[in-house]
Amino acid sequence: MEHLEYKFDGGNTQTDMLKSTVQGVVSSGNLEVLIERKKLNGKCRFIIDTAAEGFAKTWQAVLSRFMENHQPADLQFSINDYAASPDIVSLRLDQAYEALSGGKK
Amino acid sequence: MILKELLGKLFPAGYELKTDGSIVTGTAVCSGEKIALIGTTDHSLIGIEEIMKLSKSFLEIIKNNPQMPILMLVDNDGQRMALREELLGLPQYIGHLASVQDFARRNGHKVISLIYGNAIAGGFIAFGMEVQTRIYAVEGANPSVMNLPAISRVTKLPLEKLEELSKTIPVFTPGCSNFYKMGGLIEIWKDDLAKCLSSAFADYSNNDSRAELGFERGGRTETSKTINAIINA
Amino acid sequence: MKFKISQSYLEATARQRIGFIVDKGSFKEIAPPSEKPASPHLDMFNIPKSFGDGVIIGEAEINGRPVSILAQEGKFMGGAFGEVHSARITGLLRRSLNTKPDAVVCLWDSGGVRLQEANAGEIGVTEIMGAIFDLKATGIPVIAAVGGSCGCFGGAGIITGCCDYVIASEEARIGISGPEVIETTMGVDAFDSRDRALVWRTTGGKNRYLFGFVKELVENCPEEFRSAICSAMAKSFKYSLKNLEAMQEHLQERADKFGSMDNTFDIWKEMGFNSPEAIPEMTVAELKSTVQAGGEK
Repeated sequence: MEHLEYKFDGGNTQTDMLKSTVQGVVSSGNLEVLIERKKLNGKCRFIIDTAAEGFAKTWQAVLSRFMENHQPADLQFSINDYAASPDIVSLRLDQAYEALSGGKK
Repeated sequence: MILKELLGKLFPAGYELKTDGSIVTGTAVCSGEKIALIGTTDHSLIGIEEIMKLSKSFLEIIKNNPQMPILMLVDNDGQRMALREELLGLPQYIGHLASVQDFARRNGHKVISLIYGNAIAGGFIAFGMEVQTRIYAVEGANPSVMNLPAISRVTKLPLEKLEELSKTIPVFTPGCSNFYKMGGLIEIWKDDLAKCLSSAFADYSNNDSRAELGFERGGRTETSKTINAIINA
Repeated sequence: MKFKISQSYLEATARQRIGFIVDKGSFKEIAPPSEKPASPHLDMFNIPKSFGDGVIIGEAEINGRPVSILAQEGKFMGGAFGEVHSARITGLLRRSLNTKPDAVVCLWDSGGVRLQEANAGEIGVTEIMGAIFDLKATGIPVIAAVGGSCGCFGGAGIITGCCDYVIASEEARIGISGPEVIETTMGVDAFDSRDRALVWRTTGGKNRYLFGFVKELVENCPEEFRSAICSAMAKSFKYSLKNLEAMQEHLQERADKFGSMDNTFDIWKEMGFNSPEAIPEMTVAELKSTVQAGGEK
């Protein structure tokens, strides 16, 4: 297992969101994403536990892309990953964010 | 320990025992009180026939001897693994056996489970552990869910690693001392078994305190916290 | 977008299943993922934890009536009973002794004890059983629904055998020793685990229904599970010596009558079905009408 943490500068804080949501299931090739609204001075924090060791750079890239696409702020992401591919990670992040913001596209 | 030796030590003044295959039933006197014995011998497998005999014995005692304490003598190599048992619905049979044990202790029978041989996997749940509150073992008994080589096969963790971990981690390691740490055994009996048994009946309680014991002994640190937080949520 | 077409209970996640079963908006989760309850034991096996440790618990309403409800996530560790997983279930069941809901609804989906936490799981299973018996003795019905891909095996099978009322789909398999385990231990002649039809005939919902272990057989469809749970909530169950004696007699009769047979088809024939070979292909409705038409149940 490898523990990773990332912090990104966020975009605009939204308040018309759920307090938290969880998407995905921890099974082989899949992951669980928990998002919680937290006061983080506008930043977003990612806390990742992954069974696939040595992919810190890949995570950095996937998370950066997610941040650019959605520009979220003041959110904490807790991720339990069972060696999901980057595509699956992106998909779950998008799904979780969509669920949090009430299904708005 | 073989059954004869065990019973000799538990009941030096004597006991009566009937044997039916690997099932034994009988009576003995403990601290001046007549108690019922229900057990298995010879590392019995717990299959449909064994269950029906065991549950029948419980029901007869509940019906004919209200309040009579019951000592379960536990030695099994697990549930019988067979197509036939699965066809007939072994889970329902084990559920029934568990129910009659529970019903006995809920209706005034002190029920104590004493592991003197093996107590394995589904057999352990079916006959041994369902007494909940009062589970004991004599030193050298072997309570187990699965042996390390089999756990190694299923979890794909190398056996050597598992053996190394097992020296300090009780959560998956077979054996009395590990189940004791988890709160799964109240005590491990070493000497003067007759005295141990009479104190066990004297100290009898119907509360399931295994989560607290597991916490105190450091083997199951999460269980009681988790349960209580949910009850009080 | 909402689809009218029925979804699959089998393929749904635990969270989706709770959504199918309870009144919309009524679910109040207890110890939710945001509290991050998780197993401390998986790290050493290089297995990621899951928030909730593979079981969702909470309170809700079904047709306006209060229930406690739990759903095991079969996709995480095969829905297996680890320390925290079991404690969460025991906690909900013991809590229900105080809150006294109209029923406790258990959506089981589990291969049994989690071997990485074998001892904690094994003890946990019996703590759950004890809490189920406490509820039964109090008169709070414990309703089991089985229709997930793990079915109910090992300790999960035993727990199901302790519940008041079992609802299952044909896809649900309920047993103790999985076919692979029997084959590994006893040899392929004892149970050929690759013969999927044999596996289904033996442990599948239909056989369990025909024996009376499963009280209500449903299609793999969330609405049917929900409506079966509603019907079960209208029943009452009595935990009495009389009922235990009746069960003893029933189980003994079953063993005497069918114990010498090693084939489901022979058993179904003996039950009174003229063409037992047709049963695996029947829909639930067809099977029920055949039962009513004279086949023994």
